[in-house]
Amino acid sequence: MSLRYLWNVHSQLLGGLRITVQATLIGMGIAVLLGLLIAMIRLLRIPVLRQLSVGWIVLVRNTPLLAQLFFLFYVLPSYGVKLNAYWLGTIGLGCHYSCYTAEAFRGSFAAVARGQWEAATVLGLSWRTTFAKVVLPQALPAVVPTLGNYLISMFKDSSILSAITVLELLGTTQALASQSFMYTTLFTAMGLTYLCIAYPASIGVRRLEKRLSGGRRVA
Amino acid sequence: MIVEPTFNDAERLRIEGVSKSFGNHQVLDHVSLDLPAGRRMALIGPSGSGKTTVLRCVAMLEMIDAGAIYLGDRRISVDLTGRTARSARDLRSIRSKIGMVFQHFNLFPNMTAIDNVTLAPVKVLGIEKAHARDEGLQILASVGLAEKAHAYPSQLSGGQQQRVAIARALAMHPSLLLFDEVTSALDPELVGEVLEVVRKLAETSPLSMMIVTHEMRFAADISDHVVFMEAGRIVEEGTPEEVLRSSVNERTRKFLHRIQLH
Amino acid sequence: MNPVVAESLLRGAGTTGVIVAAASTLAAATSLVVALARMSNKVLLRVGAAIFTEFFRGTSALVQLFWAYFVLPALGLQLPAIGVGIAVLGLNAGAYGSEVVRASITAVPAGQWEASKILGLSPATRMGRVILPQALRIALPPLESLLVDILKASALVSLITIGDFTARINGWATQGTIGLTPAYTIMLLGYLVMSAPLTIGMRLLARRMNRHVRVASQGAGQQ
Repeated sequence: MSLRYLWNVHSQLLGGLRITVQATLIGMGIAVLLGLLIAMIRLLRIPVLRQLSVGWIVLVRNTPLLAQLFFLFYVLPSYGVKLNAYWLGTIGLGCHYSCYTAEAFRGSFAAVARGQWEAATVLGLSWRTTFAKVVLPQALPAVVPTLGNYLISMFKDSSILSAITVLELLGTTQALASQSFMYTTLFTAMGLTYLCIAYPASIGVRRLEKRLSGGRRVA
Repeated sequence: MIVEPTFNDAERLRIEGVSKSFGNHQVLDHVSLDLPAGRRMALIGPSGSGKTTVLRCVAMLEMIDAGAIYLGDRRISVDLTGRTARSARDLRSIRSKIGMVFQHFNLFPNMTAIDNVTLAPVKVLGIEKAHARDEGLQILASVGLAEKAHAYPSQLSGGQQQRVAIARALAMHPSLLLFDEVTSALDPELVGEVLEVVRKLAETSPLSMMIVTHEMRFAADISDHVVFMEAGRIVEEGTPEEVLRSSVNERTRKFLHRIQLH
Repeated sequence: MNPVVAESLLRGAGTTGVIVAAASTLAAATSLVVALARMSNKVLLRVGAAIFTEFFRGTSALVQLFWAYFVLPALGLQLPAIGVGIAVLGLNAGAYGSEVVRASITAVPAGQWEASKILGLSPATRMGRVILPQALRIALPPLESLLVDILKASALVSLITIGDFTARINGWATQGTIGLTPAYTIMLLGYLVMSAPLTIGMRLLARRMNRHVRVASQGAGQQ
């Protein structure tokens, strides 16, 4: 292990980390928005879109993220899509996780007690009002810890983007290692970096989960 | 200013030959009831007798398989044929005439008491927010909860939550109020405060009421007409005196005896 | 399709299958051991299990694969690539699996523990004949997704030079023998097809384990 070497290359490694974080945050944004959309489509039972989204979820959940990224990276350009690897990868990451967030949203909608819907129905509240003012405010806090866990997973999975030439943390580490052969130093440092971010984050999410479930009782 | 609802035969509730099954299990078997405007009906019976289902069918929360329910001259029951034949505006105007108080309160936990009470008047009746608020505070005062207007349901006791639920239903100025075992989920010492509110309501307001309850004395005090149901059928009906105190029907007497033993 | 290519792809799928089977077995054993260690009353075991779990869950499988592939030889441990792949995938899945097993053991109603204690059953009998069978039944749905996750993670071994299904398709596609679109479509469909027997198998197992269970179990459970 050579700490001096690490110091020499630290700015490149940090650059890679920056790409990792960016891809994760943007990917999560995509995952949440797309997931919410899919959950609403299934809730509203919109005819064609509903079947399509179920098929999409089955496809994405049962195939490797790596295969999906390869598909985006190699196939889309031949159909005129001119995005670079970083964007293809980030979008791929977001779309992959949207299937998981969609399930999380769906579960949280269903967890809102039936009595809430019934009370709102008898009061004459429209479906839109009920959903916006009664269901969503109760469903969203419940889903935050799950989304937090997916954010952490996505942070770790962002390393797969290196397979389609994106120079995030793993990719940068690989590139440096192939030049300097300082495999042990570099890969250990990289592993510790992921660990030192993901582990505290997961403790944070666990604490958040405890706080939210101990707090306000949902009828 | 509290708007007084107007009553006439247009508010008479008629349930005619209603039947309903859940899968293979028949819950209601040709049930017919008549509730004139301004009257109070108590539904009693063992659990599974169908009394709550009757209420839920009137509230249009359940579909019926046969028969019909009328409010005035309008058919309000929902069955497979009538389901699509109603306009949203139609539905809204019927809904605003019927209010319901649930066994488990079903208050919206993410809103304060006053917000629970004013949400529907603002969104459905189109009442202006400030006006709805004033009225809402008055109604909360009438159920004894003026100082809890800004509390969240989680900060209120069961009895207080149920009183807010009553206020919420009243804020819509219904002509018919349905009560579904409103004290069954309460700790014994909180039951009284809720029954008191309903009693006061019965005395001061011209609302029609349909009350499913296990509280026999309460049923006797408050209702004009008592209906005893068992296994989806009406076994006996009449005045409180006839059904609760001097019934000659064996099944009614058996049931009342069992309840008394508590 | 070119028969040479087809044969190669089938071999690749076979390699994937072997890796998944071996890793799953390792994962199953690891899950059980780590879960029990986590719940033991010996502090050393508890802490050791916790460190193991947090370590494998704190980084991605790919990072772990690369680390093992590149660093272990430098530390003196020379394993063939496929050994590295199976070990990492198995231990990684085992870490996640141990959480599932732990949760399912705690989900077994408290009454079962109490009854076994009163009957005087030894801890081993209690665990083996009463608690674990019930816990396993509860754990099946999440274990099913974990199994599919192992299949999906297996694709990553293509990046450390193992000739699995993904690696073969990549190989033929870069050579131009198969067009890009068909190649990567086949890759996706291939994994879909491979996941089917896993899912069906687990469902059948679940059905078999549930055959003695009546509808509403009254679990005295968490009170």
